[in-house]
Amino acid sequence: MIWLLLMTCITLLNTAICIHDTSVNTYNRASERLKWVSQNASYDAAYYFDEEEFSKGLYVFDDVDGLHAISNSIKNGLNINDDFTAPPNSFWAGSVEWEAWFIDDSKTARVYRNGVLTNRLNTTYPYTYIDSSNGFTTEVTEPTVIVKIIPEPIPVYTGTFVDVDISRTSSSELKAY
Amino acid sequence: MKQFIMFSCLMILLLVFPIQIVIDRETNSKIENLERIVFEEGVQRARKDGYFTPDNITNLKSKISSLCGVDESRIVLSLTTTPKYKTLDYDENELIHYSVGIPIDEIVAAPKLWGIDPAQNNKMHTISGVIASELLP
Repeated sequence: MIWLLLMTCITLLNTAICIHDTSVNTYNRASERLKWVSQNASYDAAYYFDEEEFSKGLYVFDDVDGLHAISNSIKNGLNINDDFTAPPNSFWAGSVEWEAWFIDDSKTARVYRNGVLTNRLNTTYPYTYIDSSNGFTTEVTEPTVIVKIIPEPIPVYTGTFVDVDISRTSSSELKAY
Repeated sequence: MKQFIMFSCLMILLLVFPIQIVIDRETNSKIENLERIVFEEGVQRARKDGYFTPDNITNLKSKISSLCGVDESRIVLSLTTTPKYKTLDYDENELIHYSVGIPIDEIVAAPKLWGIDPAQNNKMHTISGVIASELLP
């Protein structure tokens, strides 16, 4: 009887280790994927600028085109639906939100949440961007696009109901133009 | 004798767990390597070149094959192979598309033990997306 109990305990422990291992691997992969996608989204958005301002020697981002580039990059990179919801059987759950900061020579920072302007700040270089939720910090000294992707939290330790913020932020700075 | 048979059966059952952990780690490592090769090298080079050049594709295939342990013939690629240009306005027709897939041959250890058909114990892991081109017209 004692053998049976012991073996049952070992089986349960092994199952827990397997589930934990898979969960941690999944979390790491998700985090890594978000890093690449946010990086590519910020690169893409930084390509589009206001030509009229550029003729005056200022690099001012074209927010409309930049937002198109970001949303398309996120949708394609994470393989989610057009309305930013996860398709069935997808790794992602619920809806994916995103935030974009355009900081440029116009001395303003425009903040968009899911493509909608939510804030406009007066900024001068250098500007320190700090994301308190995931610790991302960057010193902005040139025109910069910052993209943050915020998917719904995924359970890192399956079965323990511990959900972790998995958001990732990346910035793309134009060093010379 | 009864205890011995039971002990043996449970030992076999318990052996599956470490094997499963090893398979999971291996699968994870393959996927991580694939993403690193595609995003860090292939995609960034295609962004500069404006498309996936034959040289870039060959390099991608050989690196994926050696680092992910997959035969080159089994790598599924769907890439933009004609030049796309940087535009002043956002144009979806001038984006570079990429889709790279590798087969993951074993997902669950001892599939027959859990009633899983070995033929279904595999999947194709694909990463895909779009990027803007840096190539000037």
